[in-house]
Amino acid sequence: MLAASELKVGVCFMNGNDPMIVQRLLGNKSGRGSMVFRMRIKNIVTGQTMDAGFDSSEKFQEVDLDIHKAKLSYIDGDNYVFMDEETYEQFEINKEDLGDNVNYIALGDEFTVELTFYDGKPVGVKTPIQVVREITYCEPGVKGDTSGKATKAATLDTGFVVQVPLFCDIGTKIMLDTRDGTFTERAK
Amino acid sequence: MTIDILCRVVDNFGDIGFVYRLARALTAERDAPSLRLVVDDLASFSRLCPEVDERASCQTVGLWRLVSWDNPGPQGRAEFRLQPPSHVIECYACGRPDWFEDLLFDTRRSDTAFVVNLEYFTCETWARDFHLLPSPTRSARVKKWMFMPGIEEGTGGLVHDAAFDALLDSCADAERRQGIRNLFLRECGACGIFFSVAESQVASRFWVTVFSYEHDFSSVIADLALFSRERPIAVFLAAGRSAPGFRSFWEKAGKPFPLVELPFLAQEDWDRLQCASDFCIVRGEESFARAILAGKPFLWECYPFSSGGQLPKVHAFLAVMERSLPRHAFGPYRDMTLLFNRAGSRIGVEDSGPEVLELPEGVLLEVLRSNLNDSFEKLARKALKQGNLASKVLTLMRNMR
Repeated sequence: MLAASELKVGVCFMNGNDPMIVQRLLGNKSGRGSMVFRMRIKNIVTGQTMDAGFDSSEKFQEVDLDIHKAKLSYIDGDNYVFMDEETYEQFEINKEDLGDNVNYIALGDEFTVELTFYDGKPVGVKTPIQVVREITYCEPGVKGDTSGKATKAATLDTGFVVQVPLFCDIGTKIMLDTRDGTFTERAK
Repeated sequence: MTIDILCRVVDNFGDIGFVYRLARALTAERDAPSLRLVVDDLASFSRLCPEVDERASCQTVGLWRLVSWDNPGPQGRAEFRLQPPSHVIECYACGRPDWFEDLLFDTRRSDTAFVVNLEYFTCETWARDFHLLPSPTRSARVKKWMFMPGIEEGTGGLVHDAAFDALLDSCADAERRQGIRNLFLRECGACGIFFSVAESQVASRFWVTVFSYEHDFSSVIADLALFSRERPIAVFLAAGRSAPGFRSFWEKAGKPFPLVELPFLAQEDWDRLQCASDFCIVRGEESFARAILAGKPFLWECYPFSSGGQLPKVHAFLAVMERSLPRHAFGPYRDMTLLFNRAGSRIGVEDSGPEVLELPEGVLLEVLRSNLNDSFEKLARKALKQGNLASKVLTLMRNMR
């Protein structure tokens, strides 16, 4: 069983009889009880997407998936082409199907992702929980402010815009939490 | 239709107070459903509703069946086996006890069960995004939805129970409001402790109710004392852990105004006091919702979360108030609300850190001097316009497919 709190982009679960994949985290909030999440999920079989609310007390059956370690090989228009690290086979996944994961992966990445297959067809990727990305644009850094409490917008090498502490600058490498797309720390 | 309401008490009486009110409101609906309440803290429930026997695992309370979350007993288990859950309200993402989970997801069942996760009340904009969202479950025959209380359009409203609505009607009339005060004082007089003033002198004063978390109350008391020179006040201090601190600061300040230290009040008595007061300091969610509907000026202290997690909720409420209050009055109201929500409340807060501030003197005084009645009446009308949460959730359950 998979707890709702374990769902993240790229994770598959059974919604009743329907295998679903999480495409986007649209928001998470903590109340007096447990955390609630809003996610965009896609039916792996029909391709239908829906926005759904989750509370972390719910539990789900896992989907029987094949998993292959792979690296992003090239991008062809809206298609991301991954190469299986063992067989060198190549698999295409549409940008839309990658959901929020397009924010975390780019050509030349050192890390591998887990390419997930359902009924022999690639349906998504699971990224590591922490990935390193480089800032390509932000306002100049403010030296001395290491509190991290004040933030500014920064564009990453994937095009994703994220809030980062004021001390960050263009070229700074940062650790990003792929569960919610937030800055965690400056990469060593 | 039978609805099962599930409740786990996180802290104090807010959670069970909400469930108690919701149950009463649902029972008052046309073609009212039968209710079964599954509650983990019967001791708290029994303080609000003395008919509840905190030791009984399964019992009848008025028109409801009430079972213990952890131990429904042979009778409770048999009743639920005979009539498995078909319509369920989970309050505040409380989850389900194992025995209930087994019955809900029993693979031998062929009927569809419907579940609503009824979240806590917040003015944050995400409430609209979450309201009525479908919520997946692991079974095709268990359908679930999210339901968000709120005062903004696109949310599920607040609970109106008949007694509270009648109270609001009465308080709209000055003479009947005075009658409610007299009634409250008569009943409270038997157990409340009056300091510095005779009971007979209290009824006509400006009533301030204090129900907050712990603070250094010295500046609050100083401001109340200054205000009482302009307008005689009586302060009603709710029972609970902030009461000894407040009384001690009040004594140190020379008992500058009459203070009525209240015993633990039944929900109906608390409602009466909130509606009959001229100014309330309230905490948590249930009293916050009642204060909004009462239409009288109030200050709200949000349940404190670790690392200041309460502040987005407070800012969201202030954004609502900014649209309701006159510009000159909003500044001090905002300052007082923020200070109150950042200063000194350490319950459940792991790291208050540098954000702990002293409450400066004068800010509450400015708030008390502002005539905010019209603005808070407007806020109450806005909340009332969203309708009765109980009716809405019942309509949702009746229309679920």
